[in-house]
Amino acid sequence: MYRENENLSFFEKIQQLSFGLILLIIIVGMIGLLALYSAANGNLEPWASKHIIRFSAGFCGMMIVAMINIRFWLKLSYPFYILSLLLLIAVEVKGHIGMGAQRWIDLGFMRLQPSEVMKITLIMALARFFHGANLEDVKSPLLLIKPLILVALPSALVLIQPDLGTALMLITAAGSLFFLSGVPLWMFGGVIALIMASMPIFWQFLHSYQKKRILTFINPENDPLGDGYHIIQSKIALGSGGIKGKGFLQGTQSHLNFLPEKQTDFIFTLLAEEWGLLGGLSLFTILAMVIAYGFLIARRSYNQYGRLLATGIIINFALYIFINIAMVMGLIPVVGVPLPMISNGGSAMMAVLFGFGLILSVGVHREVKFARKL
Amino acid sequence: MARTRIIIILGFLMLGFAIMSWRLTSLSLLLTENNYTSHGKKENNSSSFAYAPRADITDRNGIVLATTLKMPMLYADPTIIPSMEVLNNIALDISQVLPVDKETIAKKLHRSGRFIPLFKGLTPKQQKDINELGYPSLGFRESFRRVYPEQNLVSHILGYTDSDGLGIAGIEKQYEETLTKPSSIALTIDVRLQHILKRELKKSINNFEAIGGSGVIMNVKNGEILAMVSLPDFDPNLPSKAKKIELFNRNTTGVFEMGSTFKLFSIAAALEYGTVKESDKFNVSEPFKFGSHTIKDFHREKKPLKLSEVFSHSSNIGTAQIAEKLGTEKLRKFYKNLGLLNRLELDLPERAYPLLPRKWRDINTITASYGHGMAVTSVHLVRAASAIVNNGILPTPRLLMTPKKKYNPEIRIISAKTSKIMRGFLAKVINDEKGTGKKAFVAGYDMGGKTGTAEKITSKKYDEKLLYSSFLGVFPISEPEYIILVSIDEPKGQKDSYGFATGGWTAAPVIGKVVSEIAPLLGMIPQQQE
Repeated sequence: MYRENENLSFFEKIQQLSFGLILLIIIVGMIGLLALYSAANGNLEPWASKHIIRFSAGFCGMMIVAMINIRFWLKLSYPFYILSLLLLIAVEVKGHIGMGAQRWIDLGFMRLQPSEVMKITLIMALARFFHGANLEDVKSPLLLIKPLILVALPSALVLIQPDLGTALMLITAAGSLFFLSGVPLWMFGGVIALIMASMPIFWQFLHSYQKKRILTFINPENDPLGDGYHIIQSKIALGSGGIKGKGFLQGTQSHLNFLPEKQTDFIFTLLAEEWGLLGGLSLFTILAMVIAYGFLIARRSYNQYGRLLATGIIINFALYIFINIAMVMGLIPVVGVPLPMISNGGSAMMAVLFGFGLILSVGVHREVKFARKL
Repeated sequence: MARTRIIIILGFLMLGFAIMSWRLTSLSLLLTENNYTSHGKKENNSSSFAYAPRADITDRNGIVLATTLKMPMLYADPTIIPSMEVLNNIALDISQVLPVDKETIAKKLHRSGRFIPLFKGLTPKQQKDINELGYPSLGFRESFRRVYPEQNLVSHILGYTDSDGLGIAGIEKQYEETLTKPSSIALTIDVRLQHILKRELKKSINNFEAIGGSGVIMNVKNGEILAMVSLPDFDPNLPSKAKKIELFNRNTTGVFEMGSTFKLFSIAAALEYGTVKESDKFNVSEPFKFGSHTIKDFHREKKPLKLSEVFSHSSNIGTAQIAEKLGTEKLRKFYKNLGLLNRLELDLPERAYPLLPRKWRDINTITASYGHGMAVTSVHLVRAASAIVNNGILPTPRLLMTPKKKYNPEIRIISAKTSKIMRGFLAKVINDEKGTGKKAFVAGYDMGGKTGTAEKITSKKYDEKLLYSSFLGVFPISEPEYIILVSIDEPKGQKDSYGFATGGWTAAPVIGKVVSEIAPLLGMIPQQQE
């Protein structure tokens, strides 16, 4: 038995919110605030103050998104996708005109990276598509052409920027949605084989500097003093915290400037140095709990769109974490993926908070049911 | 959504967190355990630049001759030096800790880039001192340095490595692959013998104001080289400081006309081929004429000489007569069998070809019989002489305790009988009242030997004043085990040598002194004198 909650009042919706998840998100945001405060040697400027403003704004946005009916988001899935695709094309064109790669659009108060937005809207579009497709449909290769194009267009656009990290995330998150929607395994094999086969052809069209980047990506030893420098210093900072850490504001590696770009993608090293192994593992636990909440909310949703949307967004969130941490620990090459809500950077935080808003909305409107075929 | 597929995705996510946690834990615990506290040492611990260090080279008793030490390199990141004032302070402070001047460092710090190497091969003390300076812009990179604790002593054999640790001379080059695998190498060299030989050789070079000298001690049975010294030498720790002449290995790359020591071979050949008998007598009162050439002796003897006297008095006239009778074909074949006409065989990259007459005429046979007109290396000579005293079996000289290749075990050159006769001749050189090698006599050890004094060629003419004086010793002569050759290049006659600079005066005493010291080390007990 379920109660139709299509027309919940505002206060009823508030009651349905997952306060556990909201609390965790606030904790993560505060960890980011402390880290950026420490990165500036105990100053709010230049990063911590902006972080708190952005986080507050993003948090409010998230709550608004959470209150809006899931039907509305379903309807907006394709328009949002098209809009972010146009933005991606815009930066590409603008970048070309400006004779250089530009990944953002200046909105005045912040620089918006369309690729970060695309990470969420692609999931929305795919969730929208697979919502309307039943298990029999997804077994037909012809019907999968449309979602494949949905993935291929933005992936190609970010790949030519070239932003391999984002392309990797887009394809992996989209792949998980295909997988969860019941696409037969042989099709995955087929797509992988197809990509492998087309690589030599694709290779021909690359600029030499792009080839070099990919080669460095495959074999980072090619560039030991460039990216290698980050990794070495980063690993030192990670390990030097020991079990208990050096204490807040006491991280010598970070503060003595051995650690370049400590406020951005490498923020985790500062955390690990100052808070030690215990601090690092605690952060992992908090992030794992956020992910667990995402899955729980997805599971409780009565509609396919909500389930796929929440799962896709939470997988995307997990990918941010995995790629960032693995990069910092020297497990994979440096690809430029932020640690969302902790490292300095607006677009990723905005996109992630918008995503969490959608997850919360899925939770609030979990009992909404709508037809599979629209 | 399919339940199993969600579980698979969740499994991947859990795996991701597990890997992250494990990696963080291992990084934290690893560095904590080693108690690294400053950034430089920690970098040493990162495995990114670690490579298997080059293996050790030891002597036959395990004494380390070459080893690889972890000596970090100091580098700077000038981009994080806040001001010119700090830059100058850094340069000044470094110049007080390391043997490098302030200007050199300051110049390097002005370069652009995040990784400017400043100094290679810091000692732990130097690294500590640099660390204590506390400049965040300085760091250390793990690097290895090849160290030769015996410095100059074994330089020509060991060779050296370049700054990238690649062997470029000597054993370092010859066994590059073995050493980088890495597996260590034990040489046949005994540093104690090496040291004694070098010390005595150096003394003689100084006494006779010579330009250089060389010495080899070899086991006549198995060809193991126990000592091999070439002077002047160099410090392989600082190969760039070495002069060209110091890098030159006289024993294996230097070819010299050896002089009378070659009589050992021509007389042995004649005995072996039966063209002379031990009882034959030779009239040496008149110079030997061959075409337009005239061959004279150092001391002219009126009375006929026995074969043993031709050898011990070192008569060129007598030897020329023997060679003429023997003939070109037999002498050449004999020399060839002894390895005197081929490139030196030894496990070093520095191996010379002998210098031979462009066209071998009969006159070349005559001169070659007493060691002129052809030039070989010391090791060529020592090897060939070993065959003569070692019952006729030719050894192959080697430097490795466990050879990498198989050696031909038995190459017979002469009969044991001929060998015994020749040993008798060698003994007479030292023990006879009129022998040229009296000064090599060592009480308590029965030795044999032969002097060699060759005039060096300057602008195509032999120069009486420029000598290459050598002495070849064999001990114990009754049953030879070791052979030792000492050569002194361009010795000048001294007051206390009555102006003489021949092998008997310059090299023979070195042999005497060396044998008296090394024989006990080789386990030989001096015999009671009657």
